[in-house]
Amino acid sequence: MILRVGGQTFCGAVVDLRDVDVDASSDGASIAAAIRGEESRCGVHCPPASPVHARAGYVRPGMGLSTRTALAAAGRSRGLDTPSDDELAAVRSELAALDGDETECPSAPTTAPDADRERLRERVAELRGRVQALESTDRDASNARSKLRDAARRLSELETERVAAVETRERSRALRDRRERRLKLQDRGANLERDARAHLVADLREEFAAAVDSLQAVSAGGATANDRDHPFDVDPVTAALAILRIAAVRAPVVLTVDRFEHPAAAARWLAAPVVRL
Amino acid sequence: MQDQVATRYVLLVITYSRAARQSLRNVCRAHEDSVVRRFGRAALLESTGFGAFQALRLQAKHGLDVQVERVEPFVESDVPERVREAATAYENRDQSSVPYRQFASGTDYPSPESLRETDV
Repeated sequence: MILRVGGQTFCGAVVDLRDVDVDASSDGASIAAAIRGEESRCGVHCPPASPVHARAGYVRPGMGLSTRTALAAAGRSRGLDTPSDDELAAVRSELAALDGDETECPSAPTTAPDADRERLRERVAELRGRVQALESTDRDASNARSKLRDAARRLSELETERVAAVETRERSRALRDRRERRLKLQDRGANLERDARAHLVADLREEFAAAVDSLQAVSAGGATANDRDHPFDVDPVTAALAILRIAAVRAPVVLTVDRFEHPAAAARWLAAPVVRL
Repeated sequence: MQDQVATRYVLLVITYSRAARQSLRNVCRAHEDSVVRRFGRAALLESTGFGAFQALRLQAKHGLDVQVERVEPFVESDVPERVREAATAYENRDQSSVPYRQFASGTDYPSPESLRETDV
């Protein structure tokens, strides 16, 4: 890797910054972000980060870790498959196709209640009758005719709105059919992902326990005692290091913890490039 | 089966995305008094100003992912008597394997087609 931090440049598979004037926590986070390819004030040239880096790529005191999710990501980094993968791929591709042509439906126009239209219809009929009555007796019907025109126009507007509302409703129904399908697929996908994760975790459980044991053996101290029956019952730092050892990691790992004699030993144990702060 | 709320509407709120479903769950949890019934991604809210307020809030937040319908409780006596009788008689039939079409043919019970054409 080539690492630029605080105006200095460092090269090599192991970069030890402990004697360099950098801030372990803020610069550690910036370097880890740069390794993941995110916006950062540090610059890094290195192989692309794996999804494991997002979860365990920055090992620091007090870190949090979703151990099982991270372990599953480690399994994926090694190309492990699960029985859920085929269906998961099918679900994802159908979801991608559904997301493709999304057209937002205009909100339904507000319509007058049926009762209003009914009243207006009666009013039109009544005015029509009055106009006819006036005309048939040769009286002045201009005032009544003007009222009839207004009422008829308003009625026609309401009818048009009504038709538009019905059309919107039908369009919404079609759009919602798609959304319903999408929601079903998302739920199915989430279930499959859970299954896949459980499968990967079960596959790697022994290996994880062994990595924790091995860490205890090499550790300069701090690794918690390992219980074979509860291998996931370890502190996040220990779990993250064990997961990184299991994962196929080519991009550098950032460490601010004291578990190894020296950074090169860490890199050897993790089988990954290391930045030590 | 008739009760005093027979003529009262309820608001049916159906969600079509995970985010909208979560919001509906939150609303139902926070305002249990206004919830008539909860289903997975749908709920019946009381047709009050408050129920409508919650439904409209959800719609404002999630747009087309929230569908709101005003529905009326089902009142059995509003259904034509022959339809009710047919349902009871068919459920009390002797042979459970007989399809309704066969059960109704040659009797006074309405055919499936006639049932479909009957608006209730």
